[in-house]
Amino acid sequence: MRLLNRPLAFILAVALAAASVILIIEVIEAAVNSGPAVVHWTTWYHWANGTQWNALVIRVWSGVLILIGVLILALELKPRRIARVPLRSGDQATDAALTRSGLTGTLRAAATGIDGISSADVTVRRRRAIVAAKSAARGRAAADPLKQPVTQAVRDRLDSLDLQHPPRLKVRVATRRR
Amino acid sequence: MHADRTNRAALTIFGLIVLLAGAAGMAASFGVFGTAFSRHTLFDNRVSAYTGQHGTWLWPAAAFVGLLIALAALRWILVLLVSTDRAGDITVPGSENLGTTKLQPGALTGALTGEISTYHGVDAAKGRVIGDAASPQVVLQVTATPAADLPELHRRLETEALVHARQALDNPSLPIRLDLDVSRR
Repeated sequence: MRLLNRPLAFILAVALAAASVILIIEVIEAAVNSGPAVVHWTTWYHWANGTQWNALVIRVWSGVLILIGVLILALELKPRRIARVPLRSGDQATDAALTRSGLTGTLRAAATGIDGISSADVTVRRRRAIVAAKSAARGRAAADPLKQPVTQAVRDRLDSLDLQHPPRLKVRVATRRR
Repeated sequence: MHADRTNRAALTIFGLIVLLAGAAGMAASFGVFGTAFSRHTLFDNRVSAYTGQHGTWLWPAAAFVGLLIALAALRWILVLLVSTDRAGDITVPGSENLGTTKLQPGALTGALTGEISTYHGVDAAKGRVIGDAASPQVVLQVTATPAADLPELHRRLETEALVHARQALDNPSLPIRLDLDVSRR
């Protein structure tokens, strides 16, 4: 998001600066009665004087503006993914945190450390951590008994991290597909 | 990252203006402001008439506002392109009779990351000093190995490395941001 915002902000800033400079030049040119200098705005003026609001071109451009506005607002107002999970610290001047990927990695390591678990996908959200582990053996009979030890291992790991606001934990153990 | 909040706020305002302009155009076009209005030409309205009657002072005023916007936009571009949030040389407090001690931020972060790299379970460490040189903030990114004991590493970082950083600057309340990550290999 931040990476996309920078070029977008740069384009907007350049466009604003350019439009403002053109406006200043055109106002000065109009004041000295020498006509359009950079932009041939008189053409636009005559077009606007001859175009009605119910014209198709107005509807199309209004639609385009609505679309652009909705896209930008959706991009900017969408809640950001949590980037860091604060850790308890002994010093008020220290702002310690585990990165989201760090928390994901350590919970995955805790889950895959259980015998019988071949892999685990971990999703960390603002208030919830979801661990989807896969058993090495096929069949529910192999997967079901693993849920309790996986949950315990991940819970212990989560507790040991001393997070300020530990996320709620949800653990699933699925069987290997083939 | 500096300017990120400004970028987000400006883009949000811009998106809102564009959306409202489009919605107003669409509403006028479909007769929401009256069927008669939708048959008017674009400049056949009170605002355009007022602008036409008061152009002698309105356009210079618009040009002045344009100048302010251009200056603000140029400052924004400069912030986006060349400014940095990194701190300059830090003055270490001490007796003025003995001269002034300046510490380069790179020297502090180099010593700090060098020490942290020797800790058990550390894969990599990066650091930088941000903010004003008079009130700096240290930002540390420590990447642990997958098998590292994270609570122990966190404890050691807080009780050793961060304490050493504060001692080096003779500032017990030096703000430090510590980001712990875990490597994928």
